[in-house]
Amino acid sequence: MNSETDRFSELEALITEALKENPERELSISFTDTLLRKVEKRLTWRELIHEFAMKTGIVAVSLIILAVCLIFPNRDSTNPIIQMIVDNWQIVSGAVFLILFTFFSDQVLLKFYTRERIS
Amino acid sequence: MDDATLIAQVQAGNEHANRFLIEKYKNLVWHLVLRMVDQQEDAEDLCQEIFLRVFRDIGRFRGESKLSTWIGAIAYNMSISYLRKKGKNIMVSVDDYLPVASGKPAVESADEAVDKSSMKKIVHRVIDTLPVQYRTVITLFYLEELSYKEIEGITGMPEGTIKSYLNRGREAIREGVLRLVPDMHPQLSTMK
Repeated sequence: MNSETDRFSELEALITEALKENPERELSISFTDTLLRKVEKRLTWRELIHEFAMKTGIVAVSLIILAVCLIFPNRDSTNPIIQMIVDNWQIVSGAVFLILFTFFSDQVLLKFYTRERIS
Repeated sequence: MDDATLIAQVQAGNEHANRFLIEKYKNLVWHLVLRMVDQQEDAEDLCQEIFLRVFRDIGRFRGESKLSTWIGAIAYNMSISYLRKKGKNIMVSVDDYLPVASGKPAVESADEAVDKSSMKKIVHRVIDTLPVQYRTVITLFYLEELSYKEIEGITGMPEGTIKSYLNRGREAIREGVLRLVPDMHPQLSTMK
């Protein structure tokens, strides 16, 4: 009976020992470096997007202020600039899109890939 | 470095702090994910995703728990989502579980030599067959040596459930080992 109890405790001890052991499979050696590179990439991307949004915001606010300054003094008569924009809205929106895309490529994409290459 | 300093440094974009955070918590995340997912490549990718989430959301950490608990909870929730996406049944009922019912005996007779490391391998084989919830609490309790409170913080399971899973899990392992190694008892006394 005693030896049966001993064997039971032996099995229990073995199970506890096995449960406390690290698994045989380990993370790859490059895990931390690969992860840090990814973190760095994401941080750079986020920083560039933030910068781009700020710059675009500043330009947009300046344009809005300019538009208000142009419209308000002559709000009774039709402003020729506004009229021109309304008449050619497709060309104007195409131009705005092109400018934004060029600005985005220059400020975000090019910077991102240049930094990538350097690192 | 305490948690608050580490978080401040990570938020300031200090690369050494980022490395320190990964090194400090990678084993916790790896052990948890590996036991839950059980596929080396997927587990490693998932660990990367977990740490990216940690770095993304670290600004939201309010210090209501330990940083290890917060990171563990992210790892646990993301592993559960992964398993759900893979269509794995994670809610195996405790009563429905039969330990390695279809398992072929690892050792055919008592004469066959079984050393201690082989026995441990058998124990690990049995653990791999347990339901996810068992494997999770067993890993956090025995391997990471976390308290019930910390395991509760990570898994969201009440303390009573954790204790019950631990007991039943151990019981299932014992039964599983005895099933895989017939005539286990004579072997134990001669084991090196």
